This record gives sequence, C-alpha cells and structure tokens, in this order.
Amino acid sequence: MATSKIIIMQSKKYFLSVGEPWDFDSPDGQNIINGIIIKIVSANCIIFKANYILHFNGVSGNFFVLCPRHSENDFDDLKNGKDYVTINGNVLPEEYNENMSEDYLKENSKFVIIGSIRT
Amino acid sequence: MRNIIPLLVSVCMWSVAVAQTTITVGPQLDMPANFSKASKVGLGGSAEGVFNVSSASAIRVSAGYSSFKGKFFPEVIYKSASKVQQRLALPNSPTLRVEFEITNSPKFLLNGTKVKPAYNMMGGGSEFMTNDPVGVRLINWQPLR
Repeated sequence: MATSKIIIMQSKKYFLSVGEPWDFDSPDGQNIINGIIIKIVSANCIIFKANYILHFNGVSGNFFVLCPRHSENDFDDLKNGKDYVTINGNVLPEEYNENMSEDYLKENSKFVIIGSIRT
Repeated sequence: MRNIIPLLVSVCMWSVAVAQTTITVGPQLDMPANFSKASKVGLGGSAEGVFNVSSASAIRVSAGYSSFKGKFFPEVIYKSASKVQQRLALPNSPTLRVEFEITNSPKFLLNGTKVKPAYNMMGGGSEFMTNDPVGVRLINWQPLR
C-alpha cells in the first residue's frame, strides 16, 4: 500500500459497526465502536484503537486487530472508495506496540466481533 | 402483492443468555406472528421485530448479525453447529437454525460472498447481506448440535 494512501486512510474517521455480538453496547451506543486506525499493518490487517476499553467474556482491551472477513475484500477497498469492509475483529489484551508482527497480533488476540469498518 | 424470490436460506441462531425470553430478528425483518413448532413455541410479532419464544432460553439470528448496518444470511442448510462455526468462521457456536423463504426482493450488498478462513476455521461459507427490509415466511426451525 502506497504511503500517501496509508496517510489518507489514517486521517479519515472510521468506526466499527458491530454485528456479532448482536446486542453489543459501547459507551457510544448500540453496535458501534468509535476510535481511530493507528496502524495499517497490511492490506489484510489493521490496528484500530477504540476510545475506551471494552470487555468480552473475560478479555478486555481497547486495541483491535481487524482482518477482512470475505475473500474478495481487503482494506485497500477503503482507499479505493468503498465505504465499508466487513471484518473479523480481535481484541488485543495488551498495549499495542510497533514491534508486534502481524502473526504475533493474530496469535495473541481473541476473536470477539464480526462487523464492518466504516467511514 | 409481494414479489417472491426462490431463495431458501437457513439462519443459524445463537443462544445468548438463559434468562432472556426473546428472539430478535432485526427491526426490519418482517416475520409472521403466531408461528408455532410442536405447539411449544409461539412467536408473536411486534413493530420492533422482537418475538416471544419461551421462558427458557433466548435465541437470535446469527448470520443475520444485527440489523444495525445490514443483515447476513447463509445459503447452505448446515447440519451441525460446528460445521456452521467452521464454514462461517464465527466466534461463537450457534444453537438453533431457522429456515425461511424471503418474500420480497431486498437488494443484496453481499451476494454469496465467501468467508475467508480465519483462526483455524476453514471458512468457505457464503454470506448474503442487505440493509433493506426482508420479508420472510418461516418454514422450520430446529436446534443445532
């Protein structure tokens, strides 16, 4: 992904629309998580930082490792004009740092939500 | 008169809490009232799309992931909960399956889109999504094991 496109994505506002769990609530309301993209690891992995810590069956955190859910989509779709990408979302139960690899992030986070990242 | 499209889907349902007494199918999902199965379960419609099921358990549309920004429907009638979880790469295992016929013509944003493998689950299942109201005719439901 070109640097300029990464900058565009990281400067835009996005939110997570949570479909699974269906009864999800956050401080911002039902089925929504507001936050910012803090790292585009690859076209298939984004780090999203929520504005608050969230709790999922004993796992808590405000960093989410997002992966595209469907085979025909990746996060390049967002910079190419699509207004959403369906995602699988993992909560990372620790502070994110730049040294964490994509593999580490996926292996050390817990799959907790299905939804979409949207502008 | 409604358009009827020849699409039969199964919607898997997740048990979410033993104390709840509703089935939530999304505020726009038009389900018929008074559906019954073996005289044990009665569904009563409401404007909010919340239907009383029984006092024992709570069930909800799964692949219909919330109605907030769209509904999802799998196309295959899966035979086991683990198969559903594997093929749709879901974080939770479903407990019930509902079969219904869609009785209108919603515009699908996802139309048979394949789920990627994820977290040691094989994926490969197809999903449909729409933001439109979905009319349905319930055909059947049964627990998934």
